[in-house]
Amino acid sequence: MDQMLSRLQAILSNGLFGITLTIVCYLIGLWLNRKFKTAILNPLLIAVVLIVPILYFCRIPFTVYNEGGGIITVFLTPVATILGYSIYLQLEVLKKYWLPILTGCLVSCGVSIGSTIALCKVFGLDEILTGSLVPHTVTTPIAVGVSEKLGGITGITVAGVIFTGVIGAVLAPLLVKLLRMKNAVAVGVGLGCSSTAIGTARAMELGEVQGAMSSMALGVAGMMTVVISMFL
Amino acid sequence: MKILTQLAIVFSICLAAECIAAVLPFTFPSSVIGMILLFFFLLFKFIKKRHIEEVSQFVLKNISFFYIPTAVSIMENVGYLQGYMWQFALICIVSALLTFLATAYTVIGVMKLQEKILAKRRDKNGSDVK
Repeated sequence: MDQMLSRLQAILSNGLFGITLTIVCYLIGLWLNRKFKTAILNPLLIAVVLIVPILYFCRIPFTVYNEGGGIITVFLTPVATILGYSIYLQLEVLKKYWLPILTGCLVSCGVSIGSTIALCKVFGLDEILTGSLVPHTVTTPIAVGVSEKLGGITGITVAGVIFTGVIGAVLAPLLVKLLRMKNAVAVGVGLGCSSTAIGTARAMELGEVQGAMSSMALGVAGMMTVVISMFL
Repeated sequence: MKILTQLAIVFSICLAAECIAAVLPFTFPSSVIGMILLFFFLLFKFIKKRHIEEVSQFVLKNISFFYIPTAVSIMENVGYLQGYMWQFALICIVSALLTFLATAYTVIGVMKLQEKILAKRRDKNGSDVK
């Protein structure tokens, strides 16, 4: 029995286990998302909600899962680098609306960082939690970098980013209807700056202009946040 | 072969970004340096769109996949959040909505201002012609 267990342990510790589990859960998430088309059923959220209980109930330690998961994490730098390509694709849009986009992004960074720090102070959160939450409205690869720099915990940052993205993607379009906002550029930049990549995916559903603006704003606001966080 | 070449290009840029980040006197995420590098390489046609197109499209379509392990790592840190759950949620909600409204109205304001300035210029030019 003990021998069986140790053999099983060896198989699980093989990086393939973490990678396979991640891919399968992500595919289930994609399938559910396509079937029901709601922002709450985000593939990343579904994958995490599946993996965490599986590991917990099977008593598989996170470090064992991360033998494979860590291999996927290595690709985060190339993934963020490729955002440069997506900004390049939006070059025409950037040329046309550079001033509203840049001012919008700058204001968004100020409001986001300012309101987060103020709220953390009000609730008496410590520096580590505050540092983890400061970049919660920017895209994950940048948020993780900023959080590390501010001495935050990246796991909490990623949870904050996902939660913020889902909330923004669900509530922001409702606000747009309620306030009768008709400016597609404003809606796109707003979603990109406040609701991370999940908001951008939602913006793409709202329209082509909204989607392009949102992915542009996602990158620009992220870079501005990095620069601002250097002075925090 | 094609995909491998594209991967080699993207990874080389990332490595270059890591080198730059290591040399810089202040901390700056290497991922952002990579993003800026790639953007300018494309802008100055040092790299062409077709050199990295397939890999980039695949990554952009499945971008959230790569964050799953990082998000799962919350398991390790959940103790840290205990007792702060509702504060955590409230901070995310309030600050996201504030940011959305402030950004959207800034964009609307700036665009209106630009239109006004343009209209004024047109008026001036129009009267000059008369």
